Amino acid sequence: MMFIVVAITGATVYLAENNLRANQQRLLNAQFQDQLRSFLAVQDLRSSAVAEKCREISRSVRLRAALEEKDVDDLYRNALTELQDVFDPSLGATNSDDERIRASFFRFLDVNGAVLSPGDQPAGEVDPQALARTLIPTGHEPNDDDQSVAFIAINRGNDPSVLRQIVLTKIQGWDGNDLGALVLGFSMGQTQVLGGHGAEIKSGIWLNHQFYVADLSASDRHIVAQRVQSGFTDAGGNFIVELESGPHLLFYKALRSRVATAYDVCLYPLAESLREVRALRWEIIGLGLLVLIGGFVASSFLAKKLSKPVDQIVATSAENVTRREKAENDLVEVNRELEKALVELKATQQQVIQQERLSALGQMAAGIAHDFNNTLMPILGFADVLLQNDAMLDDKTEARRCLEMLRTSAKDAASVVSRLREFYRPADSNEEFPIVDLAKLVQQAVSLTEPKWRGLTQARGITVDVQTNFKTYPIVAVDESALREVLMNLLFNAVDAMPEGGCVSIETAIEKDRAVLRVADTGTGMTETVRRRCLEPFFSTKGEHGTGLGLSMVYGIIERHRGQLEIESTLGKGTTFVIRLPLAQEIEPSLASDAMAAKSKSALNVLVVDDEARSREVLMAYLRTDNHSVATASSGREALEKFRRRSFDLVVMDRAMPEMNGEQTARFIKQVNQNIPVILLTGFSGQIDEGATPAAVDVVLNKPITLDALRRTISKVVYVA
Amino acid sequence: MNVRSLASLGLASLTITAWAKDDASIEGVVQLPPPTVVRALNQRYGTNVEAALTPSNPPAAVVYLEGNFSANAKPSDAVAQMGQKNMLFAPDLVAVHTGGAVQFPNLDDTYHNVFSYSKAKRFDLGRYRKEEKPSSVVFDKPGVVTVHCEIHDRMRGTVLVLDSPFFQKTDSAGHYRIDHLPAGHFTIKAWVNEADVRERVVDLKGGGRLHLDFPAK
Repeated sequence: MMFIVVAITGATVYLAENNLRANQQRLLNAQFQDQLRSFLAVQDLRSSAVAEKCREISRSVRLRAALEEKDVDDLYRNALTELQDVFDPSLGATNSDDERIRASFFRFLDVNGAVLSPGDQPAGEVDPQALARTLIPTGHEPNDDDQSVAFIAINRGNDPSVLRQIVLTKIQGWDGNDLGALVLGFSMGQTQVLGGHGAEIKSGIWLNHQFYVADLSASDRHIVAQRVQSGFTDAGGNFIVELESGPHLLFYKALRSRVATAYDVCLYPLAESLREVRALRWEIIGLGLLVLIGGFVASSFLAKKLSKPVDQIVATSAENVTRREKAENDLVEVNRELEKALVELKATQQQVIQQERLSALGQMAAGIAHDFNNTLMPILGFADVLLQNDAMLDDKTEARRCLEMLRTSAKDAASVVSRLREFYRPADSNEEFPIVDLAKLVQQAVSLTEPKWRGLTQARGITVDVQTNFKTYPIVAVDESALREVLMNLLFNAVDAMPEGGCVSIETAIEKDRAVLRVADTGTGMTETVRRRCLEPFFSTKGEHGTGLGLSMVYGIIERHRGQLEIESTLGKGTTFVIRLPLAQEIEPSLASDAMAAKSKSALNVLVVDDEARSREVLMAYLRTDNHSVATASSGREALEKFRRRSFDLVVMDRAMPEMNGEQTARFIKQVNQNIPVILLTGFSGQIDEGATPAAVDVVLNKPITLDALRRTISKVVYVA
Repeated sequence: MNVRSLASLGLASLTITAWAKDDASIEGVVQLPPPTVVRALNQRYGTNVEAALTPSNPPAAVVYLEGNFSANAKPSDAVAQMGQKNMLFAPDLVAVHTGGAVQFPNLDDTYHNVFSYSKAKRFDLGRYRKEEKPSSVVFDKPGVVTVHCEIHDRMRGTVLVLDSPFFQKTDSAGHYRIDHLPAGHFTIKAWVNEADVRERVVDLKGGGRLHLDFPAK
């Protein structure tokens, strides 16, 4: 116990002391930085004063005149006058604590940088060789600065402790040409006393591996030189050096100099602050001891008080056992409840999934509506054109063209509806598609969408050009209407992406074993984000006008055909959709000649049963095209009556009829004649799918029905079976 | 005009008549450089900021017959003038025969201090004002004397001290005409500035008139 208390108190004291010391150090640093800053500010001021003084002198008309006339006597004589308040040759090779700006020598350089000898004129002493060495890099160097600074050491015996700051100032003639230069050697301000702690910053210059500083013993200077040798790497920094006179913080800063790198070096004695830290430490330790003794006294009191409750704990331990048992029971109960909750949660999850499915169905319906409207548009458009334009109606080829368009669109509408079923039944992987000429499909899609982009041109005065470029004519096995829808979707998107008009080009090609379809527009393009997300369902950039389903539909269709969809888009340049589809291997002759085969077979007796007169008419027209004889019935009852009276080869029957529906009627028919094939037509696509054909029915056909589909089905159930 | 100047005029006419018997004349055009652009140099004293914007003197050249005529002719007593007006020497080019004198009157309201460190004549008039009439300076050695004002660093004048009495300063378009010239074989020079001195060799015949142009080099 005692050991713990001692340890804790010790640690507390240690931490407190550390904390205080760090604070003290921070304070010291801040103080030092402040002092240094003001010191450097003073130095800067001094430098600019020196610079300005030199500039002023160099502008003297007399000096310039004398230099122009190469009149060295007049030059130096006049310079003495100009420099009278600065120049002090008596400074010689000594350092001065004089706060004023004093120059110990001056020289003039001619236009080539050579020193003009002052002759007998007093111009201060300077080692000519040292000066020449210092000035060498300056002379011929083209230099835009009118002024530059260097440092030169003035040897005094073996002790190179005197340093001069050399300021070289160009002298220009009246026409702005260089006449020469003035070189002034200034004594450096060495030491500054800057309040606080009585600490004195010593300032010096580090030049050519020598440290020039006043009032520093030779050995200290040596120590600094050794530290500095390895220490100066950057433009500035600081570290602590242990000098004989105590620890110092050394701060250095690179100086702008024409010759070898020079550094301004400041030394800040730390002895005073360290003494303060030491005193502080003893205070803390004393305080710690006091806390320790107090702690002992307090802990002995506490120990006595604590011994009582321990007895009580022993007494109540029996009670604790019962409590624990109860707790375990509770735990079991909770566990059971949790399991129950889990089951409920799972059920809920199922519900959620179901709801999700339903909402997806709703969304799908919206998509169907979207596509359905797309296909309705050409139907309405061409119908309108035909109805309102008698001339066109009379022109057989034109009328026929329009009617073909109408039929194609109507077929597509039918296939759109049929896809409702596909929504909950995944696409059959063995699905077989008819073989189609891709280029023809493209042409159809272009024609079908024509009302849209042509209309746009007229309505908004913009020009949308659609160009097709068929490099080759790939043959693909596809669901024709689905692919047409893909193309129409892409075309609509392309037109929407060109609010200012532009050009859509559609290209077909064969690359390797794939058919390639490129739809490129010169529209606004997509951002990377939009490009990545554009295939997601319900992602739309068209706001209220888009369902966000077009491209996801496109993607779905391409996937179903085992194709690939690539999107290249540059913002502001346009977008290119590249569709790759597998090429059809070869055209199966059986499929191609199916319709022919059906036609060539002998005529049949067909009973058509439908409660809707228009449907009956269409079916009749279809069947008569192929020379079948047709009897009709408008209800199941009527059908049965007719069936009993004469024999038929085939029954084509609507599913949804009042009184007796198609399935029921079919059952009765089969009871009469087992071998009569029955084709059931249904308008409610998806309620019966082909996989679950009612027993009495041979084939279920989804409405609306095309002539082709009917022919194929008939040949399947009558001739093949 | 005082008596002294009248006397000097008389002397000058005497000089001319001494050569009158040869009486050749020469005229022509010296192609001059464009007027110098006023450079506003850093002013040593901030007293004459506006002056930096005043136009400089129009360009001019001095055309003279080279040769040593001192033996035959006494220097003229006429005193040429190079005033200081609008912080400029006006005119800023003056030619004198060796031994001739030039006066430097201050026509401005500020101080001027005219001096020269040129080899041909070193002088320093010190500072003086408008009212203070400075003594004239006699130029006793031939050469080019550049004149400065200590106070206004843009001011710069030239006194061309010639061994020949036959010289003429051109007008600002470069036209000159020198009359009463002796016959003989001479070099004629056109001094535009120290870096641009053009020369032609001519044979002058008594009473002849010669046209001689000095195009730019």
